[in-house]
Amino acid sequence: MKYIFHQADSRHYNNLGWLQTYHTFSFSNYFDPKRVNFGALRVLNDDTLDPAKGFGQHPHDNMEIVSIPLEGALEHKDSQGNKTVVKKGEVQVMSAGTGIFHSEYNRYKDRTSKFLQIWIYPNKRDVTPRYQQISLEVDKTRNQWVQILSPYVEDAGVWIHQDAWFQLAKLDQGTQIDYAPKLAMNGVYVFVIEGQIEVNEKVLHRRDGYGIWETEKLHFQAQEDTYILLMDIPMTF
Amino acid sequence: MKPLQILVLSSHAKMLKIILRALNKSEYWEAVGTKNFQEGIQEFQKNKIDIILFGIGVTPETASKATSEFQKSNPNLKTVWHYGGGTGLLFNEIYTVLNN
Repeated sequence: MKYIFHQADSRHYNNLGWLQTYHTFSFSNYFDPKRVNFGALRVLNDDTLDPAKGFGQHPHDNMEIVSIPLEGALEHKDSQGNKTVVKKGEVQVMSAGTGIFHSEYNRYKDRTSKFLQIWIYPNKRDVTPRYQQISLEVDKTRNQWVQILSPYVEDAGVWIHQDAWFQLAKLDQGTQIDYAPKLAMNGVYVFVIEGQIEVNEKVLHRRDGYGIWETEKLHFQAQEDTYILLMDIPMTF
Repeated sequence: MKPLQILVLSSHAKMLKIILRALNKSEYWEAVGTKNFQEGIQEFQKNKIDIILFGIGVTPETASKATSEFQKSNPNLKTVWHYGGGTGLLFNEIYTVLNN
């Protein structure tokens, strides 16, 4: 088993006034050659938007972009004509492919909105751009994995152009749960949204990240009520 | 110090414009763009290009052909694929290629 640990406070913090963000991996003007990616996982930004503020229209191409609101809601508009609101309890994905322009604003004028912005390298360049958004069942199904993303249209969750699977779980204190990577060549990146959990005997706290590869099974034990995101990611792509 | 010369190949005119604008904000870089390999050859003949950034619409075959062709006149030429659009990863891609 190989692993990499990213303690929460080792993330790069950037305060733009309207946006407070923590970058697990190098992004924008922040560059650390030791923290560029975990396999196909390239961006993990933990963003807080001020009331009514957000990202004006900007372009993307050739990237699978996943947004998971943790608090509040985002108002989304894009060049494909989509105009939606994505709120806590939902997940949004864009396959940017040959190009998409979009904006994301905090829907609320009286409170911040928080979300995870995750970028995965696609397994194919220049695909047709697409947008997808679904509601999640994480609150209804405690103490088990809830798949929110896969490579397959017909599978649970949203789908992307990459052999990646995402799971969310809300675990009660003391709960034990296992996970086996879907593919032998995949690694697993665990991000603790809230709480404290032991993963293969490594204790993780709120907003810590832990990447593990060359392993057949991971064992989790929640030390507090814990909310985690697990990303099952190709290590080569 | 002479700025690094960057050639961006992308068939998406609007994206190309945005990438060039972002790169040319740096005093250390000078970027020009073309929408295809043929125009890239002309640009290569005019300037000594240090880095080629491959964007939307460039196939692996074209990238491979361009790399072999352009490395004839600059064996130290570096190449990088652009992902993500805009500035999110753009500077990182240049830093990475220089770091390597």
